[in-house]
Amino acid sequence: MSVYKGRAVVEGAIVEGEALVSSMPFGFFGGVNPGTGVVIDRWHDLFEQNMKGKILVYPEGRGSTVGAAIILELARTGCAPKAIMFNASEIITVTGGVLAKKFYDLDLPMLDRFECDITRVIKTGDVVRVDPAEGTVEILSSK
Amino acid sequence: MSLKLTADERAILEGKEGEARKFAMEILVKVAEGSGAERLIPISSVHLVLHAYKSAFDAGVIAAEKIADMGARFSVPTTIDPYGMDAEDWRAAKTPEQYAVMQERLEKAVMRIGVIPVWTCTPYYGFNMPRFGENVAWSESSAVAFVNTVLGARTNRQSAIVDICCGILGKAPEVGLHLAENRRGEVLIKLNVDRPLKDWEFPALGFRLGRLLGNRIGVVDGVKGSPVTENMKSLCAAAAASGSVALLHVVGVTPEAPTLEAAFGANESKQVVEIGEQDLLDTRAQMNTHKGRDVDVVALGCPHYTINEIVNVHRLLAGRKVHPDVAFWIYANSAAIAMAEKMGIRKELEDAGVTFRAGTCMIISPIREWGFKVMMTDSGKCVHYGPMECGTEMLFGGTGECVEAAVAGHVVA
Repeated sequence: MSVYKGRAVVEGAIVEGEALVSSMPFGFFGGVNPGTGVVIDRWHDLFEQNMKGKILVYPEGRGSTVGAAIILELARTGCAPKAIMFNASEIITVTGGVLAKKFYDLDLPMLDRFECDITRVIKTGDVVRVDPAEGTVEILSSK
Repeated sequence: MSLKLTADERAILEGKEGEARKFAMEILVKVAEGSGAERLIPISSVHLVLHAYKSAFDAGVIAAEKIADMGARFSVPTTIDPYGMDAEDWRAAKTPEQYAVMQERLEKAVMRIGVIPVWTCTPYYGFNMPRFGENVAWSESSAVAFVNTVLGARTNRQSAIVDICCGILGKAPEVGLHLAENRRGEVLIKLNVDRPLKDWEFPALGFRLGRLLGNRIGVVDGVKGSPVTENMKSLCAAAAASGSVALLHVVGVTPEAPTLEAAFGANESKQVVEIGEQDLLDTRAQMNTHKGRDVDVVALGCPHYTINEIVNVHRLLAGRKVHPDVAFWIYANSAAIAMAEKMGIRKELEDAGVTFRAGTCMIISPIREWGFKVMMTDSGKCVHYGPMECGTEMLFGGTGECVEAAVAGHVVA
């Protein structure tokens, strides 16, 4: 199956999981209930989907600067996604990954800068393997 | 290129200036590396967003306490976003007891680090105002957009807890909007409205621009007249909430856009978008998630109302009473409320049925306890977050329309 090369902006161990993919920018505050992992943003195409344990894929971050604190709470409650992949990372989401490691020793690897639009090549429900050291994502099986 | 630290910065990283500064530097270095910075630069002020239990949750409170326990102290002036509940009377605001306990723990922790407790999302009105070209490290998306756009100060959209690290160290990664070449316009927005914008059109334009631009820098050409800072506050807040706008250029209005050419610099416009009166009306229709005319609560002050805006509501209300079935709440910081008190209009507004909610806001304080179903506001930012954070359907209108709805008990066509 296909392998896509990007860059690990937050490092971590290799993870495998089911992808949850959006074509819309996403922000964590007002975006997700950190006690469950369910998306609460009524304006978003992932509304009512659960990101817990998923490989979350979206084009770029948006919205509130307090988003990193929401990611930290997701790390505390065990409802965080396994990894996040986007076309362009930004400081707020990256901070969430750095803090998850620092405060809860949780790997929440984040990859960006793929050679393609990553939100178009991975589909929701695909099972993927994320290798932060190599900066790659591999589609293991497609729905 | 990779991040290069000075000898002093390396010493901090090695722990020679204590545990707190080491911890802050470790986080800042990780974030700087992730964002591709080559160095850290001095910044002269910070504005924090670990401010309300509603958005910090347990993890945020625990993190603030851990950092305070290390003996951390801010080394540059550091202000903070609104308090997570009514700062004058949280019980009257129906704040759950357990929430109040956590909010007070968060407050104690940030106070130990030396925060200036302004408890406002508009610290630039009177507390923390950077000059043109000054490097600062601010969070609060609306304030970031305001100081970059209106004042021409330089900050990226900082992030919760990284902002604390910036405050401890007085430094931030030199990337993004700290660099002149990254502040140039990318998308041209031709505004085809041949008159000064009405007050509701500023947040509606912001709401539309946020969706359109994402994190790109828009150049708005064609704004007539002379918008006041409150108009710009509404515009910036809506654009930063519905998108990730951190900087807009408004030709003839904002300091980095004396002309269209200056706003774009060496950049070519990647896209040209035309926006007319009908587009703003269409956006307004999208912002009304509620299709009826009934209203439970009119909530103004997102971002915090200035004293000028409070005076405006007093003038619009013109001695009339708020309808008994409608709650009419104004959110403002302690300075604006103190001024309204001095002027005597706080009492007059309260006697008319208006409630002041001090130092907090509808988005980041508990409000579901009131059981409101429909909220009306003049804020594009509040329209974006309201459905999720207040659990209400939203109605949007100008300040005058909000006041009329509060008096009539329903939206007045």
